[in-house]
Amino acid sequence: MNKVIRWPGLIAFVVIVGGLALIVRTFAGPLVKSGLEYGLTRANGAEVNIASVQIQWSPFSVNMEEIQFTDPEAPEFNRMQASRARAELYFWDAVIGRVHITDLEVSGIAMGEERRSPGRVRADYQRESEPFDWRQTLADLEIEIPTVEGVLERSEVRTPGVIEQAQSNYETQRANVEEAQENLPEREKIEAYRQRVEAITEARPRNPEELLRLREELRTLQRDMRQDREAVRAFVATSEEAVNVLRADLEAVRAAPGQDIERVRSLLRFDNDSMSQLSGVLFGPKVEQWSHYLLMAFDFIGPMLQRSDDEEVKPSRWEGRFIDFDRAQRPVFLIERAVTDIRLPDTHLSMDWANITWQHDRIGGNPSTFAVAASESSYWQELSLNGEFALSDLRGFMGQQAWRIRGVNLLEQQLFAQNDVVARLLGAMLNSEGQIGVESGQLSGGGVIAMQDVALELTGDARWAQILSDVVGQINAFDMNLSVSGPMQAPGLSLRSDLDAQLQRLMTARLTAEADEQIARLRQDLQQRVSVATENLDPRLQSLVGSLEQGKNFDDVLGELLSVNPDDLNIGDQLRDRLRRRLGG
Amino acid sequence: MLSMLARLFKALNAETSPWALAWAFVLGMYMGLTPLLSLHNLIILFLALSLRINLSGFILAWLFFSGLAYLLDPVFDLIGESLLMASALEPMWVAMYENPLARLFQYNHTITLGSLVFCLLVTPIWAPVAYKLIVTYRSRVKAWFDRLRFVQVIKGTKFFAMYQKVSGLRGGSL
Repeated sequence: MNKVIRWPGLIAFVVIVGGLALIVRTFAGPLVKSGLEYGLTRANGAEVNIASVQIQWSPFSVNMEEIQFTDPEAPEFNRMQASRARAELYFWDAVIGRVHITDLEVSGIAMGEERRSPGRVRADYQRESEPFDWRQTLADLEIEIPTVEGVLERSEVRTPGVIEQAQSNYETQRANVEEAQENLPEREKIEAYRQRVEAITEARPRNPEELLRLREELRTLQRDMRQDREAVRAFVATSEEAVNVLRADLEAVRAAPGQDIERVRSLLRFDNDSMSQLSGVLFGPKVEQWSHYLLMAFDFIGPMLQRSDDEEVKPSRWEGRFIDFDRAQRPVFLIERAVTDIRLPDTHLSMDWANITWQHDRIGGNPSTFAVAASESSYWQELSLNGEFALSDLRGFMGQQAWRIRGVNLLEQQLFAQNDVVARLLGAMLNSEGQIGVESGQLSGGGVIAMQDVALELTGDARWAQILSDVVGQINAFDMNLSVSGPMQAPGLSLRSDLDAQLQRLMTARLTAEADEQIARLRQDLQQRVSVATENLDPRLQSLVGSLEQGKNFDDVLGELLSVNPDDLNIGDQLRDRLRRRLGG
Repeated sequence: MLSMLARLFKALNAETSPWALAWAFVLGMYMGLTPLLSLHNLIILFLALSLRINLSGFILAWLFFSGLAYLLDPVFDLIGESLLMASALEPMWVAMYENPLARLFQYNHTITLGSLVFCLLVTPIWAPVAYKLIVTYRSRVKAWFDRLRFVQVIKGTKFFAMYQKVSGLRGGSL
């Protein structure tokens, strides 16, 4: 026997292998901890820390404490953390690399908590999109508060210009009228024409020669009258134009102060673009924080499972490959049931999961499901959230979730604090519902967050903050429309709210009230200028109207005189009677 | 490495059983050609340590065949893939897949299975060949080497005598 067996070698082997087994048995916790941290870090894309891991051999289970998943987009924060986790799984499956967890309990889950020190992000982590920094938005917002002085400077008060223009127009028109007036026949001349025509028509020609002479005389007279009538008509046209221009100018002058005041008021309104982002600045970070909980499945669990799927060993000619003979098609990773306890401010929420895997094809296509159903409590009246997702070779990551939350009592909390500006939500009641879908890894959908009985407080040294602080107290209710889109790994949130319009209206009213005194002074000054101008222009207009009437009168008289036809002159009284009838006498 | 080579030569030249050396070369081949971190290599290591084979020969064969494995890996992959994909053997592979111990042996890994089968097939050839090489070395190469003039000159020197004395004290010989 001794010729074949080398006893020292055999004993050394047994000692070394036994020692190794003992070390593995003794330090199983730290070894599993390192393995889990490594594997989860790969799946998460950033450092994952586990404070401690204990192994229980029968039944085989792994207990973990203080698990922290660094947010690869913001390494100073944990995208998720849990105070305790316990997983019961099949030992031999675990030995051969198949993780089949029958029961998983995770408690003390919180999202977006600050880390003690920033976590490391894996060099191969690919950022899906630039994170949206709501606080940066505040800095970029640059809400401009218009001052009355500034507004008056750039508002280009137009009343003096309008008055000046009216006066200038009057001068021009007056010159035109005066020029036309120079050619206007004198009243005496018109009267002379009338007398001459009367004399002719009153005459009693006794013979044809006399009749012909009168006719010729009337024709000559009418030629002169026609020339004068042309001058009268030119005067009337010029006067009419002057009257119209002056009337329009006077209307413009009277309306100018009102238009100027309206323009000043419109310039005192806030910029629409900057105001449209104010609700995002106020509630964006908070809504984003809430959405982390809301989108936990799609924002965290789903992408992690997908990354694990992508990182499965790919065959290589030089490294060989493992061939799967699992005809039962069991998944490599499966959590049959999981209960997660989510820590919310002053309360807890239990979320049930089933069939968590990235190989849904291997569990008969059954999706992973998650649901929260909480009965009425002191924090909410109704809370339900449910959804499902599945990873398929053909259709990628797909799923949907819906939520309905009623009567959530939001307690006092800080919305943001930056550059001496502090905004606090003193209290509100929140209702929300919505639906989000995932197709080929792309999120789409959204919901409504309705806030009622809102009490807001804002303090700050900036002038806009002071104005805002005066008006936020008047906000009682508003809606926020939340839209979610983009890849699952980096969902993009956008927020639209009628809060912006409310704040804009209130702030404008506040600013206008502040400016009322100065605007009243401006109005008075403009009205005074207008009064002076109209006092000056009104008589001139009346004078022009008088001239126009005179011109028209001349024209009428001349028209009547020219209507007498020389051929109508006749012998005897017939002519006079006929002329009298025509002249209305 | 040099001292290990010297020990090997010492074993080749000494009265060590040729089979002890031949089996050391065989076990070294297993360690070298198959993936190192495999459960079956723990058995090979157990055999190498607990059986009276030449450890220097085992280690040198391991190193030699490890280098050779880089060239032969595609062949092992081909053998393993052919066996694992053979429909006649499928029921056996499927049955073994349910056995955790078999899974620990990584039987379903193409290179592991291919290289192990290759070694098993080559062992009946390699063991006698190694034995024959050792015997031939001892009977012909060593005798021819000893007859070389410069070797006789060296052996006649005072330095060699001293070396033999010292070496003899340490229980070795060249």
